[in-house]
Amino acid sequence: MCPVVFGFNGKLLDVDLSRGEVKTIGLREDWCRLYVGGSGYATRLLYDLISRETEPLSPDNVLVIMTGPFVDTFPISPKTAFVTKSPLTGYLGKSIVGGSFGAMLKRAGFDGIVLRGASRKPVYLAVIDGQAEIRDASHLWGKDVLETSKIIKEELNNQKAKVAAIGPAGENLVRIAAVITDERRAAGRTGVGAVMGSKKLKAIAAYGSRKVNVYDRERLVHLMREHLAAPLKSPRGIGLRSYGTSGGLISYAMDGNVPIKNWTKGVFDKVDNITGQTLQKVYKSRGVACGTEVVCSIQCHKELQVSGVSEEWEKCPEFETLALIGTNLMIGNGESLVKINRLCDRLGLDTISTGGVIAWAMEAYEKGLIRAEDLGFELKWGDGEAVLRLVEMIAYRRGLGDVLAEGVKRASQRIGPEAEKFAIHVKGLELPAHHPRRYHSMGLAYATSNIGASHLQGMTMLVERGILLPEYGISEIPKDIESKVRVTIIHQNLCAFLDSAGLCKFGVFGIVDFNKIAEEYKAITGIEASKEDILMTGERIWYLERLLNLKLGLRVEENTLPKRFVEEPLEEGPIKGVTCPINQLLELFYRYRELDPRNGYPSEERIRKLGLDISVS
Amino acid sequence: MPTIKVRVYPDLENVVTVEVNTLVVKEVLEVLKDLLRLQGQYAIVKNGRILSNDEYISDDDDITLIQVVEGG
Repeated sequence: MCPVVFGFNGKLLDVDLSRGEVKTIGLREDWCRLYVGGSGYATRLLYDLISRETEPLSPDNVLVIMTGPFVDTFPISPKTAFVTKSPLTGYLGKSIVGGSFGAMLKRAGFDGIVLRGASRKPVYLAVIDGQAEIRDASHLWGKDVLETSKIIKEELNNQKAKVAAIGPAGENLVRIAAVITDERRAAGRTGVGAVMGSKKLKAIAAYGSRKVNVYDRERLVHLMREHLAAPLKSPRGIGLRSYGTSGGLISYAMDGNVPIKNWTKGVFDKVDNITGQTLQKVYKSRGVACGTEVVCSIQCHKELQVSGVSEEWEKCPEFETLALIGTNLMIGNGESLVKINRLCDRLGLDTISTGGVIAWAMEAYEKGLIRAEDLGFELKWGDGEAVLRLVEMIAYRRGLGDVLAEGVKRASQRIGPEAEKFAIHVKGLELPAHHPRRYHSMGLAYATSNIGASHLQGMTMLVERGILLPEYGISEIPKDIESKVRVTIIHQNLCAFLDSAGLCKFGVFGIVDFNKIAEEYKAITGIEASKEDILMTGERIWYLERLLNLKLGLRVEENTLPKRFVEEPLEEGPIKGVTCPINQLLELFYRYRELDPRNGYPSEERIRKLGLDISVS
Repeated sequence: MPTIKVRVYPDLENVVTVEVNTLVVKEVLEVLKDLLRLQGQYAIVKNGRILSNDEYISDDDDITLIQVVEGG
């Protein structure tokens, strides 16, 4: 048991899939204090277990699934971290997922799972009420995520169990494969689904009824009430509650903050057809929390009844999906997008990376670098039916889908230098939807994120749009390079903390300030913390991730943006003529972060001050 | 008093004509939110672009009011 830090069970499952062995290991109190839990704790574990030589899709790689102290102790805190060496980037792979899987894992008696080795035959892991068992999954191999979850629940005779599963994409080692939890939430980014597939691990099911102890329950109940009420009074909370993230598309599009035609255009005249507002007007809709066990007053998960697709409630595509597969591929048909989103979820594909790699393929087709003969059909902008076919081809690695399944970086290298020029990624991870030309701090956040281009490792577009952080001295929208760099660093640190604590960022930025988060953290864990401590802890985790990447061979020149954003301004729309001054931003970033611009290493002094238990060397 | 034509997204077919005593975007927004009993954050779109708070709209302008949702 973890003797001092509350908010945890105090133990992890350590599963060796090569040997078929399961054992329990204790949670380290010192690491909880230094790295909180969730992605921070998982990254620290991983640091000791992988090296530059570790092949991401080999049995040597390790996948850590980890919850934080807020998970199942506090509302609006569903986030579970999947952390590994990414098969897309070769560096830190991390994907944070909502839903109830993490809460159920904790109730089953474990704070996380360390997955090593690889099974010879397909298996799934059942973690039920303090017991863990590796079970045969031969009959599940080849099935989609929904079928898999359904069969496992029937086998366990437990409809309340929560399942994290891969689809055919993960089985086929597609590097943009996701793990889907709760049948609807995606741990989508950095190819974590392919790592599960490489271990022949089809799924993990969790169920339990335990509750972990918290430090000060009375105080916590008071803080819970306050936090749950906050979204209902905040413009951000009201907006998300109304339409979910899909509601963001219209204002982002009118502000120049969406990708259109592989980031080459500034206006898409069919955007009105696919906004969250339109979809929820045209189809019957409802809003729910992201998981059945999640207490949340925002309820941003929106569902639609689309008669042309199915009779069941279907997930309304999130903003990122509407943008990467909608505007970026110029698909202006809502029903098409619901179908593509559904197919990606069932097959276990990340919709952001899928949109990114298909946009690249469409541009390559337009430029004559890919031909209809290579595909078996034409691949024109806006063709939803062609995209549906291509999604299947990627998941099953059929035809040209086998090339696209490698992700946009490797796919473009396969085609040649001309095709690499419009492969939009950072460190191999395809870009999310927020536009580096529109919000320059997002460009910096993408370029310097420790997992490649991620919008959740520094959500600075929020600050540039007026969601400020006065408790950290950010009381105005940043206008100049210096303030944009400072905002990026602060946001990166705060996101690193939140990913480790298990709190949903939608329930924090623009909803409550970090003085409140510090109080909540103390009431759960007993760890005395101020807002400054929260920031410093996040900073420590950010440098831990950076040190892991350096250990894995990260080169400083990889901290950059695709040239399209730096050298090619758009010719129309709200951000006509604008590019992202990434080199100026990076220069200050290195200085403020105390990173050596020649090799990206942090100073010994900075690491010592932050109290990391590993050294720069 | 100046009049403006307002559509509230996504109901683009319904046009409301409103008299306002100001044409500064920030103040027009407040008037419209109050009049139409809207909660949350809104922005004014004209000709496919969000207008900033300190911009002006013109008498007889045709504008759209959209709810600003800050998603992921």
